Amino acid sequence: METLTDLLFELSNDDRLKILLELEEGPKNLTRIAKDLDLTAQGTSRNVARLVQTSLISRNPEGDYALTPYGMTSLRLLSSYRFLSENKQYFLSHDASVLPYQFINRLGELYVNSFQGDFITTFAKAEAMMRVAEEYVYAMEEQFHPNAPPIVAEKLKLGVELRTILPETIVPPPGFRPAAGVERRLLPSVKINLFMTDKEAFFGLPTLDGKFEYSVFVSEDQKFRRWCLDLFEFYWAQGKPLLGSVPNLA
Amino acid sequence: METLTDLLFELSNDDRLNILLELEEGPRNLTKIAKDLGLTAQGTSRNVARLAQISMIERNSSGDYVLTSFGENALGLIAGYEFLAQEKDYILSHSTRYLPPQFVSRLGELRRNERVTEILDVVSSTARALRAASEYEWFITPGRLSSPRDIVDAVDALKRGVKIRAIEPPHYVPSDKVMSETPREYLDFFEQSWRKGDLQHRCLDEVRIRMYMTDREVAILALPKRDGEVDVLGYHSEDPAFHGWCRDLFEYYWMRARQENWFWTQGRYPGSS
Repeated sequence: METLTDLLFELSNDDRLKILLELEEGPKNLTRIAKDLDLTAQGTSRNVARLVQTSLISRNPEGDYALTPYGMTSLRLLSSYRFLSENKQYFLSHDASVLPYQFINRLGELYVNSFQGDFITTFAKAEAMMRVAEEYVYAMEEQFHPNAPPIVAEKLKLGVELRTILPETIVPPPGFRPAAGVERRLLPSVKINLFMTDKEAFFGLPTLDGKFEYSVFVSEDQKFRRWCLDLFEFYWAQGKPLLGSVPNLA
Repeated sequence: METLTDLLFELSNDDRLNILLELEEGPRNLTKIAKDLGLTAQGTSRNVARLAQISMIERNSSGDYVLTSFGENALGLIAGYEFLAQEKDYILSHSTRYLPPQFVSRLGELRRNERVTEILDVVSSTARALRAASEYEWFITPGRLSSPRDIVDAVDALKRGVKIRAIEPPHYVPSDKVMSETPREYLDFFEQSWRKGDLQHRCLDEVRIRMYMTDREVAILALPKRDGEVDVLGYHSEDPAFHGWCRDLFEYYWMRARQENWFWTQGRYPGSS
């Protein structure tokens, strides 16, 4: 375990981390590093020596310092830790263990986002996203969106692909008639809030006691959307196609 | 950046890391933690306080310590660094630069593996895996380590119902030696399988990793060397997480690879001299 904790120890220092991130842009000599990061020459020299000692960086023949593949990969892995620590309160009050480990490892891709904390805003957001969707609308929901059917009808005419994952136990609101033309699949339960179009996506984890949540992370960022899309496809592949009418209609 | 480095700092201590791993097994009180890990009461108390201070652990209603949701996640992400630390010398001499970033983030899934250091072991590993395959063999390679034996083994697998998917550089053709030494009926069967779709073949312009896998195991995963040059040696594994990573990577490349309307059993690529 020594190599592991040694590695984490080197990364756990603000100055050393800054040096590594600086070198991600390209090789630099000691003077440049100290100057660009506004650090003392002595401190930089000491930290650089430590980073060389643990093989995170190395000196090239020109006398510049550069990241080793070990250093480069260490930085890549940091992005998920960064997302986690920057959203500490969220992760203390929500249950990420519902996510498959492949997606926990990729949390760093959600980095560019804004946070929406309540039901009303998220509800309105979904509707707004649907209206401007041009290629697809994919959703994982615990309940039908009551305002959806007319928008769905309009989108279908434009050739937009619509898919929804719903819980098997879903009971539609009384009098609600789900729109036709949406491809639907069922899962035993739906805990993760996932909604995406070809332009934007949002995602939310359940609360600690397993309740579906409407506070979500939203983003137009390509990596964020890719993560959401991959997660949706993961659950879509497991879902049972809903053929015929929606169950439990009142 | 402070919260991040604080988090990493707490994880960077053997005793604290062990306490977290212990709590992953279930709630524990201070005495039990100290006893199970062979630590002093004082040291344990101090470390537990630190971990509680950054909200990685908390006390439950019975007075035992448990991981918080945040702590559980932070611990889960350690797998990536575990892999790096474990494979430090390999990572120093190879490049992850050519992998799609989401697969670099997921490197922790490769941590249960056996390193393959001899070319002969690569050959025997892939042959053995193919013989044991029951559903599929998938491979991605800049150029197969081809011998007539490879083709014969592949034909046997196809006859057993194993489906093959291959990703190779464009216009790949085995050596003249292989073509001339492989019995004609095997080459014909190979071509038939390609026409039927039992053997599927696509191309990528740049192929730097080498990977052979079946439904059961990954016979070899070889990342390129530090300078980008393709390597033959790498890892073997039967671990499900390792397998899942490789499957996802293969599917990623498969979706981006092109189909050609020609297969090397037909002779030279049309239009080539």
